Amino acid sequence: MGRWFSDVRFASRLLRKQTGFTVMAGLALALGIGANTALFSLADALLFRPMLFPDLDRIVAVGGVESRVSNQLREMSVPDYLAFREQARTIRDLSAIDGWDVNLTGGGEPERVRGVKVSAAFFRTLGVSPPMGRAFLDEEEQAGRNRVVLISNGLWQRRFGADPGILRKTIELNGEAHQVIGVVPDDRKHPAWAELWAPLVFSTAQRAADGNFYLLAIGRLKAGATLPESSAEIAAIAERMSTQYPASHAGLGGRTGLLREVVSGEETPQFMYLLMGATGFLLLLACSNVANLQFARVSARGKEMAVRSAMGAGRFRLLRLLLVESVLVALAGAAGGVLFALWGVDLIKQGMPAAVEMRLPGWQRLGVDPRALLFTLGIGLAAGMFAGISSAWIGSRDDSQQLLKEAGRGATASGATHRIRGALVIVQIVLAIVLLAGAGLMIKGFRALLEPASGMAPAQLLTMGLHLPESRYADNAALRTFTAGLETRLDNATALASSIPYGNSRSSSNFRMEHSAEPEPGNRPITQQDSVSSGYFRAMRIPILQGRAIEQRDGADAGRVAVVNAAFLRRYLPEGNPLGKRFQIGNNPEVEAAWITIVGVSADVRHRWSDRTIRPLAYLPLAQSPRRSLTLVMRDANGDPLRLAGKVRAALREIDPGQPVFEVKTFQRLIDESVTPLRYMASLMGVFGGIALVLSTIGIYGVMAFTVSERTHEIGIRMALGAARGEVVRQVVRRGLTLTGIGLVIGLALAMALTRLASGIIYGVTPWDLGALGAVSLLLLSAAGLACYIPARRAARVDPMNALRVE
Amino acid sequence: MIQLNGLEKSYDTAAGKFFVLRRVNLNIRQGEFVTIMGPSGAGKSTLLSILGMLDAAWTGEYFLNGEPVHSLKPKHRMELNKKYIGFVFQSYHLLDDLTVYENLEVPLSYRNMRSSERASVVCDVLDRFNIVGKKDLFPSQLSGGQQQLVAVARAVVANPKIILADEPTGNLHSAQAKEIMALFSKLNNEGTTIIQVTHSEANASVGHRTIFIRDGWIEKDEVIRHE
Ligand SMILES: Nc1ncnc2c1ncn2[C@@H]1O[C@H](COP(=O)(O)OP(=O)(O)O)[C@@H](O)[C@H]1O
Ligand SMILES: [Mg+2]
Repeated sequence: MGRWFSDVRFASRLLRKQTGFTVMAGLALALGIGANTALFSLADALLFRPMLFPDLDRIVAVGGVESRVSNQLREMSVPDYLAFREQARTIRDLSAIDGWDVNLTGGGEPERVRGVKVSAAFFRTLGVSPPMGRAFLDEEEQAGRNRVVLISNGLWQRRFGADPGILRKTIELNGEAHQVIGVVPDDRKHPAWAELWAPLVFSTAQRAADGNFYLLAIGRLKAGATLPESSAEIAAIAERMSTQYPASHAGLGGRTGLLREVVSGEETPQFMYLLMGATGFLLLLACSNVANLQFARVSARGKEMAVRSAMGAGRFRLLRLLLVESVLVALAGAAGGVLFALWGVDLIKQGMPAAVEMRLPGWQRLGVDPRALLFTLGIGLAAGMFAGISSAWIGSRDDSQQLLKEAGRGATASGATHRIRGALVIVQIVLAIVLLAGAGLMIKGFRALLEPASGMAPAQLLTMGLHLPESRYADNAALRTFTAGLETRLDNATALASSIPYGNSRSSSNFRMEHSAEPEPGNRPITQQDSVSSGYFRAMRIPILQGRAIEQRDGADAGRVAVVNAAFLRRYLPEGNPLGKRFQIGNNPEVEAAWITIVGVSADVRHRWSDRTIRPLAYLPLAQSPRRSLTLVMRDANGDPLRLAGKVRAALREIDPGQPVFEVKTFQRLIDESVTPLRYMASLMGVFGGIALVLSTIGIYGVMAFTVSERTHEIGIRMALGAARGEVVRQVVRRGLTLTGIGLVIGLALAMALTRLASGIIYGVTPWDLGALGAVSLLLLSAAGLACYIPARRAARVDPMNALRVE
Repeated sequence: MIQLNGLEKSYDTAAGKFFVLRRVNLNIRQGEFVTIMGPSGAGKSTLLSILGMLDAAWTGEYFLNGEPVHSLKPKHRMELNKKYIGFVFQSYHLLDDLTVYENLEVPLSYRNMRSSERASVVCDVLDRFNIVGKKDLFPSQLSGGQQQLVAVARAVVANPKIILADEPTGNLHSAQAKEIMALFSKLNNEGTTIIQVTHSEANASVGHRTIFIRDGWIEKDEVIRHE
């Protein structure tokens, strides 16, 4: 024990003396451990604990799947839900969920609130009993008993000032009175964005509507039932449904999935795996860095080791000394890593966009995950120790007598050590270039995605949401009166649309071109369908390529017309003049039978950053296809469009004082928010790339510095023999850059292979981008060049006389 | 050839300025064979380094073949080093990773010589020093005397006017030492100026002139008469 202690004392004295080494190795480990822990904590929170419901892994989501398209759960019809609920033996408390966005009026500004209608069993399914009030009773799931509502704790505080008497109150939702029966804690909400829950009641017509797919469902696995069993059962029921309803259910299946997987979304796991891959690389980089530094240091101490073994130290004693040192360094790195991890989690929390945060109820509880920390600490410690021991082992193989003799004349590292050290530098360059290239390509791809919007000058556009409830606007005539009133009050830079690019909603319908053959069921042509007012193309600056835009004259009584986008033409009308061609569009009963004439073709506009190709889109006049959920857009070509919001509100008050607006923001902001996940990813990748650059620079610098310090003697001799300083510098830099070059070639090949893989997963990552790859290569090369140049310069400053002094 | 006027060198230490060389005045003509002697720490190696332009931090005047070294920039000094100087060290200082042949090539590689020309010069020197058979060996495969022989060969390979030798025989047996001194004598007869540092009277007696240094001062400057 005493001996161990003296080893520790000696090692820590040495480490204190070699500040440069200790700091570099510690920092490298700390960065690797920190970044890794922070990210694994994030992944854990996002992927495995996105919600706080008891027995989360028994809560399932049930839905349809279009197996031909994807495995993603999609909405089902009411008959589907009822069939699943009655027939499924593996699931209890299967509860349907339907979106229910309402206008909350009475007592203050009218407000738009997002809620859901759910089956009565819903809170039982989740295992939530409200601490204040109660959940739904089964009998509240019928017409007449269903005017009850639970509100979120957030809404209760914000809107009702945390009124303790809230449970005796009724509130007005979409113009109808509802009794408040409970308050839901904010961390027990599902969906996370919801603020209102009301019972879901099906009318007789709804129970029969097999072609309307709008319900999601959650349930609990019964004791003993497994997820695969349940999924098989649901699939079997879905198959019976598709024989029962061949027209609407062709090609439809069903399955059961874990709710947490559905909630964390389709993109989240992909993003997370990509990020985890990136941090994995980073940790490897840090480890190889530490290995490299340890290695260089141990082999530079060949003489000390030789002297020690000449004085009788056995191989084990030597190894033990080095082991103690490695552990001390690793511990220092680990301590730093904990700090970095805490800081990183904090950073991630602060940088997390609201759009992402909204979906994660447990978000604010995100902290450093102890398991992740232990795991990365373990790896870091192991890497440091492995590096120290293996280099010591190789070092102690050398005949110490020989070492001693040579040491007198300034021994240089043996060939094997040289090669290992070189290989480690190459590994670091490879890892760094992969990370940097990944970051570069993502950032570049991200910028390209925003380009299509730049023609629309999005910063000048004001956008706001409107919802016209049935309780106030009973029919299409009422809707038309509202929009006409709004249009006359606001100038012609204003327009209304059922959906705008990068907005929340978009709807698609099946349609049929005139004179076209009847398509097979399940393979009918489909187009996105937007209703827009006459000013839309002007306000949005979407160019009309052929024919005309939607105009004022396209009123309710005029002939039905449409403007289609260029993607529509490419897909469905690749030949001939599209103008004058007619089609029938599905879903909406009012226009079902009518023929719609194409009068214009617009340029393509991307509606989602994640769309790989632009989808066909038919713009219909709002007056001819009225909608309840609308976005108002208004351009202010010279100034801050948010100023206009007051003007719009005033006009609205004149038409309907009880009509709320929501999501008031510039179009630029809307776009920014919709691409936040991508931007967030790109910036995280950027951070990782930056850390990688720092780490690999440290690595190269460390190796070059050690190589140079070892070669001081040789450099002295060369200078005495007439070598100029420039030549010395060039020689050192050349070796460093040769290693960098080799690493660069391997790394670029690997980076291209990996980004090719990533581009298949995440849209916007371009696998081949010479500009981005060239830029990151140049960046790394210059960093490496600098890392070589500084020690080389120092070497050339060496006074040959001192280098050669032998006494 | 070499003229020093009031040359001084000092180090700043905690105890103040510590002089290694004091007011050194020295004149060495072309073709001389000069021995520098003195106790350890007297400043002999320092003087040699200054003469060889490996040390730039000193004051005073130093003319080499009429060129004022004291007012030249480091780059120019290096040029003079390449043109005039060959070094021999007590511990040989051969490059371990290079063969004998390659070691001899090193000084030439710093002097813009085409490789074909280099090869012929190196072969010539190998021949003159009788070490052709050793040309592919590494320094660690040679005895001390052989290593020093190679080191002297390396010092003369670029055809210097002056050879500076710092205790060249300090690590050698007397037989080996004799051989090296004979070599110096021969080179001197062919016109090369030789300045050596040694503790051996025998070695000193090979030269024409002995300078004694103590604590940085020149104490004595004797001319040796050969009968
Ligand atoms: N970097 C230095 N700092 C301080 N003193 C030095 C340094 N280098 C050499 N010296 C001193 O200079 C003196 C002369 O050294 P040197 O020329 O090597 O002596 P010699 O070759 O005659 O034995 C010695 O006393 C030595 O201690
Ligand atoms: Mg000396």
